[in-house]
Amino acid sequence: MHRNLDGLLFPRSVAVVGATPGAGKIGNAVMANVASFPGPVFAVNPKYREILNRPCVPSVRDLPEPVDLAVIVIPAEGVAEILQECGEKGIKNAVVISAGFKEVGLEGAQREKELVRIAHEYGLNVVGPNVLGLISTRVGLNATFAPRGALPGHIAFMSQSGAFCTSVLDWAWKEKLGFSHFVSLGNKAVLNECDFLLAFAADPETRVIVGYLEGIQEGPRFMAIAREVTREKPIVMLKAGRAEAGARAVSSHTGTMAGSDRAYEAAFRQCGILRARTVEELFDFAYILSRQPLPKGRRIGIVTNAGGPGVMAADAAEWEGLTVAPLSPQTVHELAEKVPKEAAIYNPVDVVGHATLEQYQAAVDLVLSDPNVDLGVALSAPHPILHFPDLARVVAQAQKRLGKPVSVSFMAGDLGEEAERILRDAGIPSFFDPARAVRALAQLAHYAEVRTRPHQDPPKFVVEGEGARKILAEARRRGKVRLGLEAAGILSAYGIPFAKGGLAKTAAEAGQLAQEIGKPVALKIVSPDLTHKTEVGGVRLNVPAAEADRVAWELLTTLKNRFPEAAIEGVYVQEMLPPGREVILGMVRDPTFGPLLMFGLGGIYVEALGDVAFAVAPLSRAEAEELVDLIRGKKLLFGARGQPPVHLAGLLDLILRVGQLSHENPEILELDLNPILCYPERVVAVDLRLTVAEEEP
Amino acid sequence: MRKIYVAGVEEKAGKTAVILGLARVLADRGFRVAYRKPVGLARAYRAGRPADPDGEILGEVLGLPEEELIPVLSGEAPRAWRPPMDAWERIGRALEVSADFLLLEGREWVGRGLLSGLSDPALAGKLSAPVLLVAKYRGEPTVDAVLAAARILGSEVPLLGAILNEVSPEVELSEVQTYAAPFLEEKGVPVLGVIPFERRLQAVRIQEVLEALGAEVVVEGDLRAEVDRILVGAMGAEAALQHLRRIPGQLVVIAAGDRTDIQAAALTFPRVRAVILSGGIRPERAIAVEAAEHGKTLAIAPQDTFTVAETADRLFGQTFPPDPDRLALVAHLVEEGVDLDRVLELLG
Repeated sequence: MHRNLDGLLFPRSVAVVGATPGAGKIGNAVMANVASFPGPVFAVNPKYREILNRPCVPSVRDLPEPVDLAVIVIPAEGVAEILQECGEKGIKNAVVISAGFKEVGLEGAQREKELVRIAHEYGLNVVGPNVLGLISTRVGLNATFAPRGALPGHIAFMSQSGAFCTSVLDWAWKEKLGFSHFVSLGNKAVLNECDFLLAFAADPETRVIVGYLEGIQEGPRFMAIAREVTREKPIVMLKAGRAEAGARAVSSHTGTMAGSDRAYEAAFRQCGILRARTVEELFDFAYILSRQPLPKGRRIGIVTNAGGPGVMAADAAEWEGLTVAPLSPQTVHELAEKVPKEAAIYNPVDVVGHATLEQYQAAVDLVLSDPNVDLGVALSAPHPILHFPDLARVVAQAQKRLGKPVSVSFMAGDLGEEAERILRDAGIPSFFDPARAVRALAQLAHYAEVRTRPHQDPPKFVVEGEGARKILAEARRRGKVRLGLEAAGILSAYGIPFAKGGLAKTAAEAGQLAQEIGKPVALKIVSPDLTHKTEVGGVRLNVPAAEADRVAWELLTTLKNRFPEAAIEGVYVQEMLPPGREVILGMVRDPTFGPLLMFGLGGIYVEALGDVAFAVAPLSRAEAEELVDLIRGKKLLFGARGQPPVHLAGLLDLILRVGQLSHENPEILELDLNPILCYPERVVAVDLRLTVAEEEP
Repeated sequence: MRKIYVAGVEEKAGKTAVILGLARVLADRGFRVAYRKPVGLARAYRAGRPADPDGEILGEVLGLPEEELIPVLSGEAPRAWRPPMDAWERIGRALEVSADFLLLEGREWVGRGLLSGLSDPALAGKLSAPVLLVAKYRGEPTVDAVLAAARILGSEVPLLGAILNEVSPEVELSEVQTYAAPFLEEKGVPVLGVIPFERRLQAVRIQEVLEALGAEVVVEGDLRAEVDRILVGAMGAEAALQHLRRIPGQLVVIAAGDRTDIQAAALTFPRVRAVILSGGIRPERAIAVEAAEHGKTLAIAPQDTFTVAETADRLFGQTFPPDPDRLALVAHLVEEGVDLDRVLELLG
């Protein structure tokens, strides 16, 4: 559902329900902040006629007009009634600052349910409950109880932690960091991150969307929205609860599962969301994305007057996926003329310690204007002759004139303060650590690629979905949770290439099937209790068709004897395939995002090296290509040491079809195709394991 | 009065269920049915005296007075190895009943009591009651076990036949029909019934688990909901999720109080009916809220995780307490699975 949040984010009139003149109360703090709003403001409190020079009415019903926004700061028990009155009055937006809902336990959860019911009944946009409030700098509204508001700016910020909001506000003042919107999400009872992504995307004042989240409520919707939004505006997210201890803390806090971090990583990557690991990164990235232009490529030019910082910047460039650009001969030639003889004139360009301001400036200008350079970093250490403020002005001028993104690392303490102010006014981020300057810069290159990458929908293959559903329904009806080769029909229904074969219930049937295949076969035991077939001795390879009957009998008998408790359904008879390059494709249904595919090289590569990559299905063709591209051992597939490349189109097709199968059949909880054999002319899966959701009793 | 002595080929073969079913089916045909367990096993205390809960349950269900049902109780302590001097006297007295059918329940398994002289062969022989063997089916070993039980009974004791219990309809039924039953018949053991495996009979109600643990309910879901298995959540959250996906049936999850990640994972999982926190630690408020939202039972048990798991685990496979749903199910299974006409014909 696409909600119109204009009245919430750009209200023309505001009422504070629970406003009070008594200092030291939240109702007073909120009213004091809201009182500075330029439009009509009303206080609602039966005890007063006026608060902070604004009119006060006894109840919502007595408001002279249905205000655009009601800010509610009364004890939790009374909130439902107030919301009901807002609904009846025709008020469409509310911020429920009050705490005492789901976060305090069962009784609170009951209150929250009632709040949601009323919101749905009247179509109310409700922020919270249990929030700090919201700020919209464009309309001059600070509807929070924070001691300080926000400076105007182009960053829209949302946070699941109210406490973190107050910290950010205070810190942002010191850093002179401005915001277009600032929203505390709280319990997310009605409005959640999805709604604000959409609203911030539509706001022309917002250039970057930044979020602190502990969880996402509607994974698939979030992805669909984020995919669209990042084509226009960058999103930077700090998703907490990544490590096990953090995830446990999220569960304690919210009662919900943190969701697998791999799924978040994949989903964010697929949506083009930039992921920050720390608060520092969150705002480094946000700041540079809001103030610097996007580069055309990943080639960085480095200018320094000190060797060490230049080397550190070059290292960082490589770690962050940037290329240290080879400068054009023209640039090198001109540099040689203009900088001291001892200077290093190849990238990183080190003008050395005794270079003059003019020489430093020439280097910055030349490197940044080189057609081989997409973005630049300027470095300096404290210097007896050169002054940081002069260097800062040189860099700012060059950046402005040439329009390429720049960051700065003047490795200094107090000496660098004035320079920092100059750079900040020019929108250029400046850091002590060269690596931090480069990392921030790299986000511009990452995001530039997100914007220009092809926008594709997942392909929709024509499949026999009904056939697959029947097999799944039958298994579920029989209470079978783990399926193996006997469910291979599901794959053929989705056009997923699988080695020829069939299930034999008896040894005689196995003999017959082998004769039909007419060449050596593999015999594999089929039992939900023996899923590790090879480990229990349940696989016989290269069995001549004529001997299949006997070998199948041996297999059935020995396993039955070894595992008397196991339910053995028969033997799967499968054509024997020649050795090929092995890959695996797995799927696990993630609680937040749904089907999470895992792709990797098979055999020892997956077990010993863990060389696997993840993506949320369904995938576009470009995302399937990226999935294959993400594994380190991909060269083995593309052709290494004279081997011909495997049939890549077939492999992508298989991945896409498994994605569609997983997406369309939510009762499949886990799926494993291991191995899939890849040949130059085709790919084919030879083993299958599935976990399906049991039917509800 | 015709007698049937139901003996187990092994422990927990399913005697109680078979007797219960037979009693129902016979009563439905208009027969008056009586039940006795000549030698019970003291596994519990009632009012300060040792008691046999299985036998008591049958008595309760069949509406019989308590005292005379189990004339002799055996125990496992060495001093109880020898029976009371007046054992046979008591048994004789207890069996003075008038009914069309007297269903007698054997000892834990057919070989018990050979030392004391109060074994199934001795009892069935002396009471002239034909023996119906009950065995849990597990393939060829079960066929051998039935034949061995027949040997223990010896040629003096009349053997009525055998009932194969807990046969998986999916994978074992055809094997039983094609091989096991004909082989047994060939060896002179009539197969009088094949009872399918029924998940719900192994199941335990949440309420029963909580009672056994003395657990305190924090959020009350459906306490009558049945669970088939216990998952002890002592692994990482991802591994726990994998187990939750792969273990079939309805589950009760036991987790330490501070393992909120596992608790949260379990609560979102449809087949989890209850989450029990060990160590007497109160749940986080957020967890209680989630439990309520998903309609699941959340309880705290005072014991540590291992003890909670062990106590709960012992509940599975015990004789179910009388409960109309389960009784109806058992009667239905016996009616469907046991060839009563043949039983009556063999009894003469």
